[in-house]
Amino acid sequence: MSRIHRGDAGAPSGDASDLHFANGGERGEPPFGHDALLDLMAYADGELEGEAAARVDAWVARDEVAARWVEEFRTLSECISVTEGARRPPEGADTIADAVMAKVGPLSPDRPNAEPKVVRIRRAFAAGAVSTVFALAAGWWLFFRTWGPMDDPDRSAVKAPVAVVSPPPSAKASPAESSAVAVQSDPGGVELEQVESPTREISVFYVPALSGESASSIVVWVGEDSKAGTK
Amino acid sequence: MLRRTLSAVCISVGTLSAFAMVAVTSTRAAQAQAPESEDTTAQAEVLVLQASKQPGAGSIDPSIGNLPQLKKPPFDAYNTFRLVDRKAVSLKKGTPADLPLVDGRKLELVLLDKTGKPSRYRLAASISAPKGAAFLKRIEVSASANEPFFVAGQSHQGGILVLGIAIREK
Repeated sequence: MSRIHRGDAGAPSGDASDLHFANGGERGEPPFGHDALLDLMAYADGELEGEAAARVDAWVARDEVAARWVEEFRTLSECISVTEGARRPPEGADTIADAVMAKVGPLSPDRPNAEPKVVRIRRAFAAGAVSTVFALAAGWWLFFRTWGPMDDPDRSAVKAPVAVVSPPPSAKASPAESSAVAVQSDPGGVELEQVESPTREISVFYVPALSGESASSIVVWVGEDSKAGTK
Repeated sequence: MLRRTLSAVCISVGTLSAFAMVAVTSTRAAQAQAPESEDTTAQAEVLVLQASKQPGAGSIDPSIGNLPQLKKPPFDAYNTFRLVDRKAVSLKKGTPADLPLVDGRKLELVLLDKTGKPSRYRLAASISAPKGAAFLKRIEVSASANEPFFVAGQSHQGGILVLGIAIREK
């Protein structure tokens, strides 16, 4: 936590009891004013120094309610530290996946088939946004299948629509995530039509056709990280 | 009087048009959806590979066969591929086929559709944990025979598992 530097840092001026709300604390409301709470928070985190620290120290020593708030803040800080520690990526194999993502990097829109493509799909909107996009793409595909010219001998080979996947505006995405990506295939290649993964992050790689060796393909990369611990 | 007659004509024409559109749509949809083959089965092959990064040049297990995708991103982050398992799975349209994986999870494949000549296959795949929780809830893929797609990312013995799934023509 960054250190707090305020000109009025320290215990509230005057008697701390002056800042208590009527019945404060009994209704779950903070019994102190905003500045006083910030002081207690900074004190609990060990971020006060000198005179400010001494002033809050004296306040906490004589005010049992303030002391309880300090204790609560410290417990909360410990919880946050433990949670942050648990969220660090594990050593070993999983870090390679991150290296893969970094290596692939942003897409090149003017060379759509020259480089492998990656679509990173956040858990939060994977089931919603992606399914919706694919449903729309499927709708267009069905539309063209149904209403295409009947005498077209190649009607059964109507090219698949381009499914464009992009994160919602509210999503915090890396450059690769925020790129509009088409999971399209060459004619006859593998096509990904739908992805559902409400609890895990999915990345989809498009592997272009390798001249004469294979058709285009896709790689669905499922991350081991799970907020629900569903390993 | 004239206005009433025109309204009646418009309503009649509109109704007839609606019926015609519904009839045409139904006919064409039926034609589009009509099964082109009575065969609703397929044979899938699932390759279970372990990919890892080893010192030196690494190696690709020759028993894996020709999978040029392993030398391309994202797999080129690994240099060693070992064949863990190779299984043939008989699929029947709409019937899930389960395949236990080496990490205790379970792969489920469903043949959703098979159309055209040469055949085009629509497959659904999901991976669940031993207690039933979804690792990968569902993907739907369409591919022709011998066109593999891959599901990767499960940690396994210092590397990852790579599942290569392809339909094989009988």
